[in-house]
Amino acid sequence: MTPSNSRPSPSPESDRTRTGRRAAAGRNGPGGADAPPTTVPAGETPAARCPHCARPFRTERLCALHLGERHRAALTDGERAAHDDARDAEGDELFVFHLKVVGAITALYAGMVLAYMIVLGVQG
Amino acid sequence: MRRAIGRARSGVDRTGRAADRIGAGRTEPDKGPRRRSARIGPATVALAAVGSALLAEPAAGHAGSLSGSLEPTPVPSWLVVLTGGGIVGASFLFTSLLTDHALVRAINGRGVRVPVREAVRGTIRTTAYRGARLAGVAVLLLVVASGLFGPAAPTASFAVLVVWAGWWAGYAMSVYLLGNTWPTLNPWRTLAEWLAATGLLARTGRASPGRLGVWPSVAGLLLLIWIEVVSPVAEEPRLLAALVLVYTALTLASAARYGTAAWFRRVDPIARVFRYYGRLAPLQRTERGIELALPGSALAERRAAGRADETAFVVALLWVTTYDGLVLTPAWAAFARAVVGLGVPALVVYLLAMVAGFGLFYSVYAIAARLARRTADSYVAAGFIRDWFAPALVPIAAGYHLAHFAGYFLGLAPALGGVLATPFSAPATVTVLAMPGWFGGLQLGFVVLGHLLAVWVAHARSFEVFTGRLQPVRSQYPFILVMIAYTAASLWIVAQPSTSPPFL
Repeated sequence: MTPSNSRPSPSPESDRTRTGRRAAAGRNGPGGADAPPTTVPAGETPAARCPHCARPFRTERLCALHLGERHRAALTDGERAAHDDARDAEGDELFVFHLKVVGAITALYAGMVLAYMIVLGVQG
Repeated sequence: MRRAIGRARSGVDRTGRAADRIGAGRTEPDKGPRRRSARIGPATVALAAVGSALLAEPAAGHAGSLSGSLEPTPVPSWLVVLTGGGIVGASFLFTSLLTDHALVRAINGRGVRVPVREAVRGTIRTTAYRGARLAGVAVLLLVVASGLFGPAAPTASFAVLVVWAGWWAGYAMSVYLLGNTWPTLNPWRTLAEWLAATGLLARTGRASPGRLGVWPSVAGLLLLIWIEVVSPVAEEPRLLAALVLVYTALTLASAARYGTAAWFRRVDPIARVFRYYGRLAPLQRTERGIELALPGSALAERRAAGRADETAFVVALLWVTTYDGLVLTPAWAAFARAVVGLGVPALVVYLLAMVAGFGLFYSVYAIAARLARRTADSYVAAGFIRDWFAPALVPIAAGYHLAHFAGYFLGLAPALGGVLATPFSAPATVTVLAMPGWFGGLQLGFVVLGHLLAVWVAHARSFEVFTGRLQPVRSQYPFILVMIAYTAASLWIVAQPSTSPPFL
């Protein structure tokens, strides 16, 4: 349901039948993954609420992404545009995040190699 | 009672002696290891083996394990701990590169249906099913009879070897490595159904076991492992047979009272352990027949979130493995001596530690779920997050189980084969294999593999409940930190020299 940027996202329903073996069972029931129970702390107003399932979100962007993922068939033009923008923005952020991840992997690897070299060198 | 236990244990170095014998390759049945290295939560010994293979500390204490013949490689223990944590962290970093939900789901959705022909279904399958059920009951009866009347030496005893090496080690492995066959083999279930059918123990149909949820199951698991740790049930066939009889009586009475299906589905802790382990297995039973899928994919695809008590059971499964190892550390021995010095009975100390440790594990996991709500910047209820990610803990528990028991099972397999032929008399010689040196590394690999699967399952599940591509990844931060801490703690326990738990 969250395909890569290059591919248009299929509707949730068709996606399920295509890839999920045990997919549909109990998926849309209340309390399932599609509609997890939410709690909003007292005194806080959610930045956005899904107009279809009333799920609250901390940011507009998450709500727009949610609409595209879970209610794709029922999107208005404005919601579709908001979803595409949100996806682009998230894609940019994701790119930076992945750069950090690659950096962290490199640092971890280098750190391990160094640690083993030093330890084995000292002992050897 | 304490005295009796003390006598049984007196002067036996908890791991050392057994390991020496096992390392020796052959032992006479009558002098067999009193402390079958295993009772120790057969587990812990092998856990020690993981360490001893890789730790530099000249393996004074933990050399005494199944891997007594291993040569320690010159890597200090802190580095092993660090490496374990690093591998778990790195696996998270790698999986976070994969943020295409459709691909994640497609990977988990891969699988083929195992073709079973209708004819096979009809006759052969029914026969095999009945045969398997009969075999299960027959083994149970043999275990009891052999435990009561057979040889008393643990390595010559059919009861001890079949229960600990054959069933709790070997069979449990088959459950998470192949598929869950326990609902068929479960002898207690078969007996209960027979008794219900003949009307000997008619269902009285009173209170349903549902009121307390899964909590009785959790308590049952903790209690069973506590008994296993504080009593010599793994080395004394008579005691083992008595325990099996008590368990049988309790189970049959409860099944009669609450209904067989309800009892085994909701309460029986052993059935629940195998059910959870079975969800990790590549062979899964579905509505459309038997499917062969990637290990863990059934956990990743499981739609239900479970409840707090079911989560507690998974956490308990993980905790009892750790507890088994913890009671062998010098730190525990010092602690227990101090507390017993204050006048607290030793068995109570062990029981309290069991309960307190479980509470600690559960709290830490629940706090991680609450933090996940924050790092993900989400309104999803913390309780839901906690229960949603609980299936990811199953591979970790299985990984530790495999690390603990693989060597133990293989080492005792010849002895097990020997007693299978002669349940009531000691075989002429008992062969116990020593694991080769590289086996310790393999065991560490199993632990890491369990964590890798857990990271993958949690990753896949996070995309089901959170939105977009970044929020799911961010929801994993607290869980990964807890997992790294858990890996480090486990490896630390492994790195400790094994001592005999005091007062037992």
